Amino acid sequence: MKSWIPRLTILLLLLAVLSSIPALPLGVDLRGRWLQVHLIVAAPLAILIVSQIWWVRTTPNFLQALAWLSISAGLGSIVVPLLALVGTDSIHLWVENHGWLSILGVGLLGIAAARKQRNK
Amino acid sequence: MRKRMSRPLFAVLLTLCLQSGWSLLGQDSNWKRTDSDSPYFHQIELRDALGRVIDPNGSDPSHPDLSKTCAPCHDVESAAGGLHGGAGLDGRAGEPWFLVDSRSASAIPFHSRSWPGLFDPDDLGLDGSRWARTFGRHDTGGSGGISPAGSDCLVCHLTGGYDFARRIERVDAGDPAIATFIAAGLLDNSGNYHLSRFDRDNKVSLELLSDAGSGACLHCHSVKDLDSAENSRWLHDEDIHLAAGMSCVDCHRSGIDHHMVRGFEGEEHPAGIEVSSLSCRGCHMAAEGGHSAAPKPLHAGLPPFHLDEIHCTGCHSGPVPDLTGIRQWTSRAHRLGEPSQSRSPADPPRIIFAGIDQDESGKLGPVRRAWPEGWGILDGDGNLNPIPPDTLRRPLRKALRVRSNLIKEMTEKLSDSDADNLIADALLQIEETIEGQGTPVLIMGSRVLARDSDGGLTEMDSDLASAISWPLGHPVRSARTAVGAGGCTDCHSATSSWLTMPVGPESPLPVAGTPAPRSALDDDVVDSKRWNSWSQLFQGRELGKVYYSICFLLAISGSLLALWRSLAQEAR
Repeated sequence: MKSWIPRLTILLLLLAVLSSIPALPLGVDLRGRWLQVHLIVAAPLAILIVSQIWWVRTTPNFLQALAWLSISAGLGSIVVPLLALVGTDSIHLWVENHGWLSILGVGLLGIAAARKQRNK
Repeated sequence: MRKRMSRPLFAVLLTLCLQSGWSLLGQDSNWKRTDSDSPYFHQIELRDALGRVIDPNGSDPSHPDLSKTCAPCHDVESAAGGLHGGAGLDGRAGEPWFLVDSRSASAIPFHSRSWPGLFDPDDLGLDGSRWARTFGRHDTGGSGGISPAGSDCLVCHLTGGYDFARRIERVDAGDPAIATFIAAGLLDNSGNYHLSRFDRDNKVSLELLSDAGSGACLHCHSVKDLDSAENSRWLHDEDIHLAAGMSCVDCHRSGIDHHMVRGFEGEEHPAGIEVSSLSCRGCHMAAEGGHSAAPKPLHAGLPPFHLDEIHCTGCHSGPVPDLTGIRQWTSRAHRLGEPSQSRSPADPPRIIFAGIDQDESGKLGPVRRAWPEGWGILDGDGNLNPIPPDTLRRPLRKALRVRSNLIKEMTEKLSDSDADNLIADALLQIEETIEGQGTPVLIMGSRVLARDSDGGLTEMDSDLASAISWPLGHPVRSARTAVGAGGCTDCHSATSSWLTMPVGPESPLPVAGTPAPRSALDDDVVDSKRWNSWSQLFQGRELGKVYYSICFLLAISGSLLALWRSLAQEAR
């Protein structure tokens, strides 16, 4: 198993979370340089997520599986407005859900890792 | 013991009761109204300035007076005011008037409203009669205006048979008071009544409507893009609302007070009425729905901050941004409506569709731009007082030998260097001839030029010759022809003209050193570095869509499979 993939994935996930902080307070869209950083991080992260799900950890525990499902759904919720499948009125909702689902996924991964550490 | 109400208090209460009852029972009760949606057919008597009914068959009948003719049924006093009549709030900048004079190469923008960069009519010596002679053709009058003629109700409200070209002819000839009756075919050119228009009761039939159709408004509010090799005027579409059968006043509404709704976002109506639903956004985007089944746009894929920072007109109004600014004629600046064989694209004033600019609220929207041209006196405080063209005749004739057209005559016979010296001579003549404390200057090509000690020209440090601009709202283009209908790269690409259309002044006189054209991006209307870096990112957007879609499909299917496996594992 290539151990650098999960490490890089986690690192990029954290960078993605950090670069989205300027979108606070809620209701504000991420824009400008920080969005560019977020996008630059997102490009390799997307393929790393796929690698992680399909090739690295084939039999995750329930919590990990739920975390990756949440991250995948987060990816989906940004693809929908990217493909112009929704109107301006609801774009912000999709973008915000992208954030919440991704953060939930990262959080669940953290909890799963902490549990694993405790059970060792 | 019962206490009796005091007499003064009783009187006040009684007055209040009577007043409120009166206003509830009979609003506008002085004026006749049918209160029907069906139009009223006006079969009316004409009245003279004293309010007497005119007998056209009588001996030497007096001329009609529109105010007195309409007054028996309409509140003409209110109607003559309002924004349309020059009263009310100044509000957002609009199109100025231009005092154009070919002999002095003057095209001076001015307005009685305090809009930025404009001169005051008083500075140009425009009294009532001069105003009527020069601008009356496109001025419908009003109590807040300069025109001595009363409001011309017919030009806006007569649905057919109004000969606008004849109106121009008669106003220019110095007959503003009866020009409207001649244009309406009630009087002939000599001021005699057309008896065939009167019935046996000496009444005339006029098809007058509050909404006489867009044609009535377009007499004074037309804008024409000028032809270029790639851009023929006849290929242009009209405003989408007019094409859909709407009329100008469907949005630009008013009551009898003629405070016409201008229709921009954040408009403050002089009467304090809430008019936000008559703006583009109010009508098309409001959750509760707009007027006349206005479609609500989806703006699919457009991040919402675009709508916060760009006016609807930024993408939907005016000509499609081109590689250069698009020169335009407007009714009032270029005497449209007057039949002419000599109207030329080079005719001043030079009004340009200048693309996008930022307004006072920080939002982006399309603007027209023009540059002041003419002569003036720059005083010690840095104030520029324009010199009215009439005053310039003598000094310019003496120094430059101008007969009728300064630009044409100088351009034909001069090179750049010669022009500098001659203009300096003209400035010296002006200094000697015209009284005024300060330095005579030429305003041209966005520069203020004065005579230097060597007999040449020197540029003064002043922004008084800077461009003036005003936002435009029309023509509104359809959604399919809006900027952005072709995707993000309509704006976010190296080939887009949306923010990069260069526009600049020109010097009609052969004087070197006119500043180069600049685009909105050059002027940092938005952060140009950031804008350019985004434009580069957008080059890969289509590929990005495919990439992220594939990643999502793989990720969601893989994670669902993993979840199923983990559940199955836990069940074992």
